[in-house]
Amino acid sequence: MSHRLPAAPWLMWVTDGRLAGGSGGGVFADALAEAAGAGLDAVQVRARDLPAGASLELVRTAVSAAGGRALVLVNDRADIAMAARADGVHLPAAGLPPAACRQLLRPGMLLGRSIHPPEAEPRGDDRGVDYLVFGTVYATASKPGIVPAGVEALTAACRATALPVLAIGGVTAANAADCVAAGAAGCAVQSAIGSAAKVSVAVAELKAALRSGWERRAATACTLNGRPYRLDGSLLLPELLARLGADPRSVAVELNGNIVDRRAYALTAVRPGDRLEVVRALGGG
Amino acid sequence: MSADDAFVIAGRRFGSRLMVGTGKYRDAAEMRVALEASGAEVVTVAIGRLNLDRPGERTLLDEIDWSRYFVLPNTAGARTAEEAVRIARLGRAVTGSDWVKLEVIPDPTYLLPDPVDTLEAARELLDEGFVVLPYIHADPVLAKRLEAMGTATVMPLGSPIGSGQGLRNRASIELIVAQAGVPVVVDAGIGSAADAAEAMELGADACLVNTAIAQARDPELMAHAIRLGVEAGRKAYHAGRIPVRAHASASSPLERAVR
Repeated sequence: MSHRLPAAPWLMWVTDGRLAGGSGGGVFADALAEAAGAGLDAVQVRARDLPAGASLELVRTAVSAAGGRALVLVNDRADIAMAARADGVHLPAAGLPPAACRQLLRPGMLLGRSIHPPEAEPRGDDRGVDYLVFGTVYATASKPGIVPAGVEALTAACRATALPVLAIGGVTAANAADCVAAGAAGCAVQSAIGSAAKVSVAVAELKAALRSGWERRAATACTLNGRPYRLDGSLLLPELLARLGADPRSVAVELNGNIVDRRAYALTAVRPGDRLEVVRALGGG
Repeated sequence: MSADDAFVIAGRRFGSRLMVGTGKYRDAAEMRVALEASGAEVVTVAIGRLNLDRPGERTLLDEIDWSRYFVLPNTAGARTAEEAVRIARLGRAVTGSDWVKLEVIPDPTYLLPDPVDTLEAARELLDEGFVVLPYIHADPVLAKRLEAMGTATVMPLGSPIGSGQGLRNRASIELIVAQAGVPVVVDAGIGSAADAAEAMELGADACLVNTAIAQARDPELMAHAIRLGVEAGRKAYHAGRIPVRAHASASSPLERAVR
């Protein structure tokens, strides 16, 4: 079975173990079902304080409540993700090395990883990782005393990887658009959904904010090899390749899904919102 | 053995029955001499994103004199038929060749090819005029289906990519060889010269080798050894081996023994 990442921009709800544990399971299931119905893309079940048995129950509850509408990712615990047939595992920064975790998972399961500044540079071992969560972006009550990294650091983290990066930490409907405009593929929130008076309203507002950020980004940047690339207006392809330092004779360019004939480069403009792939030959068997 | 033991794929004649990959080499110098020593003409490359942080970087491939080799782009990295078709088109745009080694590998742990999506991608690529060399499990039925569809070869694996386990599926490869009307290229799993010779003795038309050469302690020497293995295996295949007997059969005339 294959589990696909949601299309950007996407929204992840990171649960709080206390909220979800014990007798709160029914409340959690209702909230998750409501959130999934309102367009939530993924839930990351985090229940570090629970014993494994209770954790498993909680994740099973989440899988059933999500009903295939939202992905269910399990924080830290590959064993529980496997046992509950969740969609994947989210590794904390101090969790298993991704390669080691990947070996434990069924083929096709998703694997995410948290990265925190100052060591936010993606590590070399992100083979097998499907997405990253970068934070803390804004000041948040759930991480008191942590100096927020800010949106510029988020942009740098997104530039440094071709993996989708979700922004986390103090993200609300008021600033989610900024995160996406800065290069994030979406946001991960805790209290913005978990403490909301009405879960479905909170999810809808966050999703609307993500979409508006996505539109803003499409107006100022193209997506180049999976990463946002800032463009001020349009640019002819030879100029863009020259800016990149790429040799036009050794690359191929795909613009919005169509390969551009080399003879047509000089006539081809790249505009904000375009999806661009620049590829070359690499060693392979 | 006929003097003309031509190796022909899609109407194109090749002088060497060893094809080599360009992955996993430690440096450009090792790759250059290994390619030379292998005697190979067909050399595979992967297609991937330009490194935007170092777009002008020279890679190992920049050190190769491509006028001497026949470049065969692969679709490595494709997990589905759709991705494979996309990568094949990009490979054609990069290399200018409409030949493609088709590989569709959904799972990075075992690196086994997906037969359903390989078939689907092959159909699409053939429609688009590609010369398709599909990498497959040693499945004789799938091999026939691909051949009927019009693929230029079939490329069954001996064992998982990079494993060096040799031929773990002799019987299946023998069946593929027995039925095939297109060249059979054993791709993946060859660990040393003996494995290559074994594949050729079974009747494979060629071998594709990457890791066994690139990661050998001395890639140049191993490239030469595997070249000789391929040649030895081919000659033995033509020579016709003796049947395997349960008992000994004396080589010297026992009836005239001096006792």
